[in-house]
Amino acid sequence: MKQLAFSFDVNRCTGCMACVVSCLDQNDLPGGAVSFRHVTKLEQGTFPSAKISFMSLSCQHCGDAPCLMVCPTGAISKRDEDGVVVVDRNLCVGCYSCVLACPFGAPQFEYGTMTKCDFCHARIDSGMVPACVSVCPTHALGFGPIEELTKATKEKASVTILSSLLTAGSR
Amino acid sequence: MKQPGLLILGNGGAAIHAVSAARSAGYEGEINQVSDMEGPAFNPMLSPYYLKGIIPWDRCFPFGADFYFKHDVTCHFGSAVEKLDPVNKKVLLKNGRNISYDNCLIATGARALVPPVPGLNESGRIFTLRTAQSAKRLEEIISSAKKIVVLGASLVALKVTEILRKRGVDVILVVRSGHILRRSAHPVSAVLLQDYFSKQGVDIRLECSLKGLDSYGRGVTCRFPDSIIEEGDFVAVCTGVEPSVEFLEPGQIEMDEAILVDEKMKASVEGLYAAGDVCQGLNLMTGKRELLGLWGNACYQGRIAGLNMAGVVDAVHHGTIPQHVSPFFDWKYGQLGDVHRHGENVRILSGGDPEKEGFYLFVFDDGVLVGVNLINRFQGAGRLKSAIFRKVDFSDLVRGGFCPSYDEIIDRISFICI
Amino acid sequence: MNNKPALSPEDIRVGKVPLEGSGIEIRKTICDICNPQSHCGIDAYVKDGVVIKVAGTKENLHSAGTLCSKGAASRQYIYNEDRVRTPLMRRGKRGSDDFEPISWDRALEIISSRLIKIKSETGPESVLFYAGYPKWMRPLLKRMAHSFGSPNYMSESSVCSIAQKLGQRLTYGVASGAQPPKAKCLMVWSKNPFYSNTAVARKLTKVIEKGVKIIEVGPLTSHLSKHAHIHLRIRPGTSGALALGLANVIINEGLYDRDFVEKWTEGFDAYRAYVMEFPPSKASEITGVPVDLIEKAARLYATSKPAGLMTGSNPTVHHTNGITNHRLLTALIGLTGNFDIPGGNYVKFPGYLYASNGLVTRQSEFSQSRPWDEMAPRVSQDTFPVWCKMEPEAQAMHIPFQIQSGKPYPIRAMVAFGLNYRMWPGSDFMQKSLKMLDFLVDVELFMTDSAKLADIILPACSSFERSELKFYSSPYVIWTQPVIEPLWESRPDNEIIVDLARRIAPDDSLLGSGHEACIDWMLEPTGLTLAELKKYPGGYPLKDVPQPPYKKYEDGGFKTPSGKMEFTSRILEEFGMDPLPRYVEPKLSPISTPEIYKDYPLILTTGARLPMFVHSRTFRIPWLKGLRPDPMVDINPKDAKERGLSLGDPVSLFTPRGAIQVKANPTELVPPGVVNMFHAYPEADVNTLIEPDYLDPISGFPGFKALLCQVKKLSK
Repeated sequence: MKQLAFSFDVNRCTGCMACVVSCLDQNDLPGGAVSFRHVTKLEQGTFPSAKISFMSLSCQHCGDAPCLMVCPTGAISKRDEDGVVVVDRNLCVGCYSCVLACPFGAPQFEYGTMTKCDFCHARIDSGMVPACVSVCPTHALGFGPIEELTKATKEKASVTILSSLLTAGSR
Repeated sequence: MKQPGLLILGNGGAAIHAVSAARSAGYEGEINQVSDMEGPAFNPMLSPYYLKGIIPWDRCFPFGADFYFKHDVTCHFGSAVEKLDPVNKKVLLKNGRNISYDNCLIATGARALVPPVPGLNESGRIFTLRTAQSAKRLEEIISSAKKIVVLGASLVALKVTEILRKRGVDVILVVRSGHILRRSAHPVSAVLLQDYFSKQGVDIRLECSLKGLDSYGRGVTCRFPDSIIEEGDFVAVCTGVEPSVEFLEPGQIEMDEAILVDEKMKASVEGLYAAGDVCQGLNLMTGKRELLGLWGNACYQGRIAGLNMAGVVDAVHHGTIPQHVSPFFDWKYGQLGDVHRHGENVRILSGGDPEKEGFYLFVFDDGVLVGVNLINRFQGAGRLKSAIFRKVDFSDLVRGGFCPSYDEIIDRISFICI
Repeated sequence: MNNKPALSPEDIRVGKVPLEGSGIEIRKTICDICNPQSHCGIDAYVKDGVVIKVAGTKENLHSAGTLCSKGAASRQYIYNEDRVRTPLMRRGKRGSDDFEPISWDRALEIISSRLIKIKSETGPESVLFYAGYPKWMRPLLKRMAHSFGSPNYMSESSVCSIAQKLGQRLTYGVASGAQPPKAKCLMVWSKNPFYSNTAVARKLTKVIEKGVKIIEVGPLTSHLSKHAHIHLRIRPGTSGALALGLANVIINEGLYDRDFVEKWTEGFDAYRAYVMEFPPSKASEITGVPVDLIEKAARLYATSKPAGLMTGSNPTVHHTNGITNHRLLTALIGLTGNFDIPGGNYVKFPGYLYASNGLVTRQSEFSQSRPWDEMAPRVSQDTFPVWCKMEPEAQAMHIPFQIQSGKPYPIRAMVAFGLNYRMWPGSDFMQKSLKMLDFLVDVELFMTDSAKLADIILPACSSFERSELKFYSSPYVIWTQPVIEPLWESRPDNEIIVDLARRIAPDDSLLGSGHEACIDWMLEPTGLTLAELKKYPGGYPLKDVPQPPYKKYEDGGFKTPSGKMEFTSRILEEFGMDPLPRYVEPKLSPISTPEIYKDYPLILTTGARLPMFVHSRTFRIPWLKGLRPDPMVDINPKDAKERGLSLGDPVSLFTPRGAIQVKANPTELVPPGVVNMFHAYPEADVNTLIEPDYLDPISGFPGFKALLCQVKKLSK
């Protein structure tokens, strides 16, 4: 299985939120509180040397997904071919256990059941790229098999792969 | 003669994940699994959803009937354990069968505790909600009952209350202390929930306890302090749980309220492990080992036990914090960590309307977030949990009388998962 | 636990993937929500005649398949419920929401007969022709105005883009722009392309990663600030003083280009003498930038060969001392020998609609269908004579004043395309003035507050519903095709103009031949035809287009009266103004108005870009409004703390002229002593806090970026 992951270059991200909106457009979401991708701002220091950075985050499709572990109905699963974490909304009872489990704030609720970033797997299956990655004006957002992304990090210190939960553990 | 292998006592979340983890780690030996119930693993979290008509019965068994075949498990279902012999590494089942083991996991869970109120247990008109059987019994009871007295103020008590109210059954909720959810909710949050439950037609009696009970055929007469008498059809007992360890002899393994284990889920006797609601795992808030009663935590504990039993040397469970989220009627209530901290350096920040933007209550101790209550405000709640685990510093925001807004707190934790 | 289902027709539609059998087709167009320097290529995913998703056009050389948040929200723009559906005629009082639908024929009949009548009574000049946004119809609108006989074509460029070029042209005769890929050092002066121009943002990202040295000038913290080697955080409105301080170091340390200055400039002696009055210590005192940073920046810019100076379209000229400041800072280009050289500031030939790619069209000739001397003097001819001399349109900031005074002649009617009265400083004054008109037509996509002032509203198409000629500053040209039918009864602006022109300017046969005929006429010198471009709906890459050579001035001199770069401008002198740009304080500042500063101790700057908004255009888009739901004033945490303010607290932001209620946003975006407020909110219009005559005397541009104000917490 070639686990897919997002890559993110914090030095390139301007906080423009094109990624957030293209995801809303792709998935017909209302926006506001219900959004698969979030951009948050980090301010460090004070005048005259303050720095403002941004972070774009969605579901990280963790190798050892805590949402999957805590889901009581088995609604959440990982795809065999690429590790994309998907939810079967027909099995979801809206218990919100996944909301407490996810450190990234990925699970969203709409019509009482959970929904979230699905890595645009339908697009990927057809050789296209996820909506958020395709629009990013400064190419701060990327994606790919995690082994390839790891190689790229070694060349560029600022590329962060959010693999905090990609531990080797049982599925 | 077959090589004795792994023995799993129980068929809940911890047991299932232990089996799964052992097989994923490459364990190829025999796995025997014992349960007093028939049938595939049941998730008690799901019975309220069944009883509220949200899911069909078969969806309360999320792992499916073919789990055991797929994982090559020999099942001994429908017979409880009679005796455990840890010296000779074998168990005797009530049906007379003996099973030997190399490593044994006790994952028999917990069961509802019935308080020693005169007449209560003997009345034959009490019920609990914990097992598949009890869920089916409650379903039967609801179809005919008109009025039920619910003892307890725990999450289970409130869930049972909600199920009953939704079916038009009158409920008297008997709460021993000054507010409901004594452990999980800060008094401010509890009052909001009490008012809400009252609006749903629940008769809440605070600082009240059942003195005695007489049954009279089709109902019960309950006696309360100050000579108050209430009649009802049944009594729901939701006053707590005790670990299911009736097959253990006193002193056989180290116990407190429940079985004590280390971070590898090992009990005090060689070859024995425990996981789930039968054991006491590390509560990171108190630093002590406690019975936490959480489905997700039971699953992780089961996995760690399974890995260790399969010979994986570095699998440890680092503990967890009390946490839950529960739907009640149209509201959702949740808790993280410890909301009952007191002290010179404790600050409490609270606000929001449950019916509008949602209610929050944050408890900070020495600038660190230690406890959270939420009502209808769960966007990104997992980040709050992460903030508690990572001891994120909010001291510049919450010290010195300066009152930060909700947004300023959330702003601080938006980056912390990195 | 495998969850992958077998593919069914429903599954094919999942993810909106345009597979065979899905019914989804990708059609190409452009987004025109923001300025012509962007206009990113759009892949519209169309099913059953409806756009179900948008993405960028990968093959578009300019936008490279990317979109900003606004383009990504296109569906909520084009399908917005505020879209005007039919021509509407006012029934109730001006400004009320009382309109009745009428037919196109009736609408055009009413408009043409009213305009012709007004022309016969008070002359064609009493009718104004105004273009807001978008800009695509401007050449035809200007032509129609002049063919009708009115000199009064004017546009939103009265507050955007022109003044920056005007300032440069007073010195150099032409405007120039930096070439980031070739520069060793870039001085980015009050520019934030990361929120205004994604193509430039990508160029800058590349040069940042290459290690090119960046000097950032500007009061605010931007994305660039974390990459800049030097950040000169000037007090708003003091660019001129900083430029003088830099020039002082450059000249004193002998770092200027003596050859160029000697051979190709006029007025250097007067300039140098003035520069000597601004040692770094004085510049530091005025601007607040530390002396060592001024010296460091000056040396870095002057000794990097070549170096480029990038300015934003407007921040340096949205000041009451804007042109002067801008002339001072752009003088540094020539001073250091970086004018029209590779990697320095390059001069392009004008192309089409504000984008240059080397192809030269007949746009100016087309739109100037009547010479100025055959028409009455323009509105603003006597208030902004330099503007009128240099620019082929009127300065619209003068409109409300002439409507109110009626002098030198009455203004009675206006035909507007995308009018926003809140664009004017003292916007309530402009709104009141518009209500005094006899006849107002507004062509609009949306039912805006300005449209509600009109007598007739005509529904316009979005870029998705029409064809237009698009030039990019990259070698790429598109003749777009509609990806969906025009919604309801909307029509493309240019077709509306042609129809109207046939009635009010019937002698103009070229305009009367239609939109495409006009485009082909303008394109003629390029060798491109519409017939050819129509074959490439996604865009036509230009091959081997010769680019203008460098150092064009060596062949025939500078396009100034003296034939040289003018430190002292002869044109300004001709109009009785000081030819030398002398630094003055903004009309409202801690130094120029210390009494006012006592009660209004914060410097107010307005209009810095937010990535999800462009002026008032996208507030109605829920996806975008949701990213920043409330009008907020950016205030430094220190200033916020002094006022007891937390994030989201309601405050009053007020100046001597007025007050608005907004929420506090404590942030290090702004330095202490400065607050920033985004403009155009209907519920909190910051332009009502600015006097209508708070304008630069030469360009007429409003002083949006330096005022005085106070912020106070509001109790609930």
